[in-house]
Amino acid sequence: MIAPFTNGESIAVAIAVGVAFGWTLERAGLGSAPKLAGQFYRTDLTVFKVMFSAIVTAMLGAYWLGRLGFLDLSRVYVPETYLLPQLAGGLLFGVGFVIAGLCPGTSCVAAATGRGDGVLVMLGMFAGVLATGLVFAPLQHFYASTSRGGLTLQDLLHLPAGVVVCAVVFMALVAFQLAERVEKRA
Amino acid sequence: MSNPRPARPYADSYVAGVGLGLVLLAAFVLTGRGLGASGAFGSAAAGVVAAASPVRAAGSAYFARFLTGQGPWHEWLLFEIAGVVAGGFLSALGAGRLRAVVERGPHMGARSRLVTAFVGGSVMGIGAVLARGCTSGLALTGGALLGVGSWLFMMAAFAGGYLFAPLVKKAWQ
Amino acid sequence: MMRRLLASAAVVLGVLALFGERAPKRVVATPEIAPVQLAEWLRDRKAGLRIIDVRTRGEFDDYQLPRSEWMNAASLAVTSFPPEETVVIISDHGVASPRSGRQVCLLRGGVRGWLDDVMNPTITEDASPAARTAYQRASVVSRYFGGVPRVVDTPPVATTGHAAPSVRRRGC
Repeated sequence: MIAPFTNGESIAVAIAVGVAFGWTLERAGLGSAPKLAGQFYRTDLTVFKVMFSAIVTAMLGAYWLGRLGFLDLSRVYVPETYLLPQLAGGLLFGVGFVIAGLCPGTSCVAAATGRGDGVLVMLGMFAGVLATGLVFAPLQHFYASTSRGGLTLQDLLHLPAGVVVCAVVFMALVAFQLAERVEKRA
Repeated sequence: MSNPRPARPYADSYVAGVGLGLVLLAAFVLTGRGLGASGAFGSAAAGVVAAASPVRAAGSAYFARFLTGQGPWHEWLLFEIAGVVAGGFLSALGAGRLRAVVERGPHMGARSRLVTAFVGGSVMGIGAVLARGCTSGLALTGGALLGVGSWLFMMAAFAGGYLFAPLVKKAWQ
Repeated sequence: MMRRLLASAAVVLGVLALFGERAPKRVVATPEIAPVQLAEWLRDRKAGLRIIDVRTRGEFDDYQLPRSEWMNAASLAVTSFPPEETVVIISDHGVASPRSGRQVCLLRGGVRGWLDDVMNPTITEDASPAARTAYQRASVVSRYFGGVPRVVDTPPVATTGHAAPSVRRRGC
């Protein structure tokens, strides 16, 4: 069902998807750095709640569209797994996130809505990527290490996809209950 | 009236989250790939380096992969991010939330906030290159597709944030 | 209220997923690509082209196609290629399709097909016009890759399952 778009059409689709993405981020309040930073001081768990309800929604949607034959999941690109680079990169990313108060996508929304700090996060992000790309040679070995291809949780756990999907739904619902309690206490 | 256009409150987190999930699902159906953000920065950086020094750009394995096909300025993610900027602007316009401000914690000056924003952004940039993605492209997209690396990245990012948060507490509280 | 509704919907869809597994996996036939077409793609430096060789490492070291990369057949099955890449797989036996990739195809005839159609295209004097056109097309790329197109007396015998004659890789 993934449509073979021409060049012009695929640009239009990219922009349309982006507009919808930016719109929902802004509506959720994720264009405001103090709100995002609240995640790490347990005062405002919007980041967690929005992210996980989005993941659960898209996961259920992709699973059922695939199951009912509307979406060929073998043609959807699963981000590849590189254990150590993603562990180290994730830790660094989290540190940068709490300093900046915004992540790459939300910094664009913050900048677009007039937030000067959003512009600086975007510039910093660009500088970080540029610098890392320029001194990439010594990192390359690590970057390519512990590759596991498009490994999924169901492959790893040797479980049917439906079981993992169901488990994620219940984990998320329990986590949302906890999140509400944490926010009330703050 | 002192404030003619009060900002409307934000949407409920879960409703907004489901909306974001549907956008992500639409991206899967229409394009076979999810959302992304850091790749746009990578592509733009590759484009700038290639313009300044093609040899240098081709010599970096990270930039080189953005230089295939139609080149770095035709990258899908750049158009998507242009859309994100437009979408965020339109939404804030509609809700009366456009403000030219530097948002920061209560005890921080605007100038030092701009510095931390830049520094934080740079650190995220390094992390996003190593991990091959960010909150959008790796955590959200791969999370919904149950990719192992995406879940690992998400947990590592939250762990990194929580571990480092006490050190920058003054900036935010 | 809205939250309760969304949560209930998630629970229903999540629990149904437990029973939603389809028993047998659908087997998708991998499309094939002609060796001459691949040669033209290589010559034209087609963007996003990846040639993945899943024969044994020894066979790969003995002879390999230009710009091809070796990959273990088992790891191919769990690799997902970015959607912008066109993946051509070289295998002498069947192959398990990779996890994902917009365009994945198998080289028709494997390495033997490449040797016969690109490196050594032949034609007989009394060939049909269609065969002549195909020969013309093959000759152009054949010369590009240093092959030897030639006219022969007898039509080439259909190749059997025998291993290719030992061909050493040319230095490059």
